Amino acid sequence: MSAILQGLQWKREDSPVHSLDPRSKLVWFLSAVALTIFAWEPVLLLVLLASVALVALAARVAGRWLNALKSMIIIVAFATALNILYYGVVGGLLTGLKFVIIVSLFSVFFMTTHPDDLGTALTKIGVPYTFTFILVTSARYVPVLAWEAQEIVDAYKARGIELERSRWRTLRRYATMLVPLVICTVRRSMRLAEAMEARAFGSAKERTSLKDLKMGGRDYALASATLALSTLGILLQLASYGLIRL
Amino acid sequence: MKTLISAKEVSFSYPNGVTSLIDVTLDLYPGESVAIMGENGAGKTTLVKHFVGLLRPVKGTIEIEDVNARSMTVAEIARKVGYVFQNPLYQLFSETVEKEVSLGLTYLNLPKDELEKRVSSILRDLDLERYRERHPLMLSEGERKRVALASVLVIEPKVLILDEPTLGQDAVEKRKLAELLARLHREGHTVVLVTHDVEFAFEVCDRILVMSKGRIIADGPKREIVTLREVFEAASLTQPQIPRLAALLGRVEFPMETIDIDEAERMLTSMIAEATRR
Repeated sequence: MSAILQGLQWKREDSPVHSLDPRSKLVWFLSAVALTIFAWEPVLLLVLLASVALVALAARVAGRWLNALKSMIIIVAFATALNILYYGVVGGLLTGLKFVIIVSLFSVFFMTTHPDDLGTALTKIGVPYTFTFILVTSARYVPVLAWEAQEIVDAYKARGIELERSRWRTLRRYATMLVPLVICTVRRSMRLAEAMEARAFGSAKERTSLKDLKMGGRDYALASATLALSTLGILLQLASYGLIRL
Repeated sequence: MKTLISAKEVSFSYPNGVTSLIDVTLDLYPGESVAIMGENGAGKTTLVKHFVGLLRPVKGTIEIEDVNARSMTVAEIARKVGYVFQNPLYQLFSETVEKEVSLGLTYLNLPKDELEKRVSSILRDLDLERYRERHPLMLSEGERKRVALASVLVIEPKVLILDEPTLGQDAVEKRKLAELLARLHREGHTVVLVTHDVEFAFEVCDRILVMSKGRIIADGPKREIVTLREVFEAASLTQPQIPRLAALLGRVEFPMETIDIDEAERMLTSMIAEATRR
């Protein structure tokens, strides 16, 4: 559980990927996700995975990325098995691979982009601030929630309820623990809303931000290159299905 | 005497690298009432979480009644060591107070009438009977804390650990809690408090353990500890007022190990009476 969170959490790091403008990373991220969804060519998918791995290496987050993947192995295996049942062996394996690539993209993107910067970027693109605020805040509270969930599991165990030995009934017991987690979350959000109002949230229409973002040459290069490559990839893939004629 | 909980050179650091216990050694005996005090981040909660098995030592061992805790699950330890969390919200899972209190018991395979008897008696003891059918989350903060306490006490653990029980409690609730703990102690329970509340700790407990930066810096009977001003300072605690007064009154023979205001009053009146007689 915590490995997955670690693999999604931003940490300060001095790397060429971290210092990119979030908007260019967003373009890279979204176009890579789109291409992954459209691509069915095994070589193309493997190239995509390799490119994510390279980005992870350049960003010095490869260790956390692999750990997160490792702790997701059961989910990946399960999803792949289900897909094999529906689409046959090749289709199932490719879907599994797509799943891994998309998870990796999410992991690398969120490990290298600070939620606040992402928020500023979205606002600059024109997304309403209230909406980006919700997004950024929910990302920021994930570790708090994880900590709280652990504390609740601990409280449950400390009541003499076995979670470590009996695997079978454990799942249902975890469901019970959602009650305090949801309640604590609702309460916290109400407190947060009050605190925000007390700090005059929403009183001004135009909002400035302390840290301004600037797209540099690198950013334009990355954004246009990835956008062009993925558009090309998607078009080629569609053409190979005979859906469009190039 | 046989120890209930024994920590031997226990060290612990969190996965993020923060070291929070360094070579902690201590023994807890049946019937003791111990307060663990210290500054924020001193390692108090980390230490007591080891007593329940929620954290496992990186180095050293914890023994529960002479059995290495490593071989036991938290649920097994919980039958002997009850732990009441700081935030009652984290430990309330059920729709009614009654169900909440019996939750832990249903896993002990007790006969039904025994189970009902235990639940009823604990609800009576903690003044919660009238809330039996109420939702635990609809109660006040103090009442919720009592429900959380009841749901641990009902398992009848030998050791009861309370993490910051006085936090957010008003004077009346604190008074009631002190009486309850005193009664449990009289009935033979071993009570461990983790607290910042110096006056409360000295009132309720006999043995005081002071921690600072992951180490135990003082451990002894309260009347010994209460006079050690430098220990309080090292752990960012306030020395209780009466020993402080005693220290200030250095020239007069006023015993520093006085804790209670009643004790102090008796002492002072007799001193004044004697002085006027002279």
